[in-house]
Amino acid sequence: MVEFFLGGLITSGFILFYSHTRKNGMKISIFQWMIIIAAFVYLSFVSATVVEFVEEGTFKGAAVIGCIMGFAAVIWGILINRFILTKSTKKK
Amino acid sequence: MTDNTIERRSFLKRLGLSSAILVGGLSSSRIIAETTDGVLVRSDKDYGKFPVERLKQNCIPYDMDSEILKQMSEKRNVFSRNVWDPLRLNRPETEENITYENLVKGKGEIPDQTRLDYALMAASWKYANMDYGGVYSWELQDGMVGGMGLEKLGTWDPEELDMTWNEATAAVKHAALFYGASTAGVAELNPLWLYSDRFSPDRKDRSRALPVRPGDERFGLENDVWYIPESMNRVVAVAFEEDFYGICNSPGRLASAATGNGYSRMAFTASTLADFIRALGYRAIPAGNGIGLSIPMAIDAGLGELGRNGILINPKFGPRIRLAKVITDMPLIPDSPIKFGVTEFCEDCMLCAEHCPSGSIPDGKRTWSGTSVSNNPGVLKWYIHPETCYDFNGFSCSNCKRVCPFNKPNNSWLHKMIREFIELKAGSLNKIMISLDQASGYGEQLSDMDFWKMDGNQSITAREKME
Repeated sequence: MVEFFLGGLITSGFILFYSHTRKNGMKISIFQWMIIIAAFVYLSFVSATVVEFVEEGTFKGAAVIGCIMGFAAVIWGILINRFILTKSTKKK
Repeated sequence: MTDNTIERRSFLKRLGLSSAILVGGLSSSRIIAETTDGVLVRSDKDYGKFPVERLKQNCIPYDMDSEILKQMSEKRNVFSRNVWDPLRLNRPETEENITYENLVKGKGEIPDQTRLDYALMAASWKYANMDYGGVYSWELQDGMVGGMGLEKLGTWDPEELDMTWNEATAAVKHAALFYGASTAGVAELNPLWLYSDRFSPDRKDRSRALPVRPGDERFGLENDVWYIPESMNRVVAVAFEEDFYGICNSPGRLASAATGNGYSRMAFTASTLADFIRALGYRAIPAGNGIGLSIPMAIDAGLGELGRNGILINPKFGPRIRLAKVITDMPLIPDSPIKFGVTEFCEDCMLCAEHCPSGSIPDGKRTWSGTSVSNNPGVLKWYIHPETCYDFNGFSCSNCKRVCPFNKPNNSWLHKMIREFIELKAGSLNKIMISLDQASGYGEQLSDMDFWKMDGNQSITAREKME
């Protein structure tokens, strides 16, 4: 159930992101879209891992793995913003 | 007599049908790849969906030196030596006894040890010591099997029910699970794993041990010699999962409760399974720790690999199991031994050695012999020190199980993913996983009050959780 909710949340996030790019007329190449989709898949994986730890009752594990993998997700997000979104907006 | 036969036929038909279903379930094992020594498989029922290398029949997952390896004397194991060996008679009091003295006899309070814990522990061991009541008897005792005269109907042939011996073997394993085993396997009996004698102290001689010899057709005790016919060349090894949260309390009393629970279930299941085999007209010797070495028999039966902590590591339940066995002349089809990277992982992982409060687990490489007379040399493995292990905490301490990275509360996708990495047998990757395992809080001691506050449904050994 939690996983289903999580999947719905991340899919909604992706749809919102897509509509945001369309609304702002951003030009994103297929290669860049692949990087963005991979980021969303990674985000799903990190969330599922954290949820799995919480369900198991290993809260320390959820915190540790969440921090390590979540940090990588944040870096990924910053790089996408800096090198894809910002540049695409400038082109507009 | 005829009625009995019909009843038995109808019972066996039902058993045959359910075995077919079980065989169907077992056949859900999927071959992933062929390897030099066998095949890499993934089986839901047997191995908790973990990748496991099923070895060819002539391959064994350990190295032994046939010139050094001899049958071990039961008199030499640490439990027997506690009775007769002068070096063991004046051993220090175990921590278990000290806390018992303090708590129960009111000599002081012990943190994290309550009467509730002691009650759970003491009751858990209730059926464990029924060896003396005939539970592990070599002969059929009173009961319905004898009452119905089933054992006198001659040996059962699976062809009566159009079953193969493979299906009959599955039926016997099904019966083992039915009687309470968590998993079961069959091996051809290696006589080297049988004790060379049976420890039988009496008032006059505390070190008395009666020899065990292969008998042509002689069976049982004759003139102070125990005979096991050479036709009894199969062993059904059965394993019992211990409660995860109980073990997590180690070295507290709740871990002893989990251990005692395992021992009690061993006695029930081994004896009922032996009666089941006798009811089919075959001989059966049920045993807990007696008769022979359970771990190598279980390895031969494909139940797991030996870990650094001297304990069998099962793919599904990790080190958190107890073992029993039934030796029989029923011509069952042996299972294949398995490998799933335990030896390689244990070479990199020192957690059990680091957390052993008595320093009984070696932190070096595997050797061909140990330092204690209770070690049986001739196999390349980690030889633990049984005396210091016993002296620390009797048989309650399960720290080596608690901290073992193979010990997990469930077999979720997360743990399955980690096992895929373990199967790669990459040393550096193992070290990262061990660090993450520790950082995640696995293996930390669970306080007894946290145990008692848990929902009982979480606490019980819920088998479905491990699938």
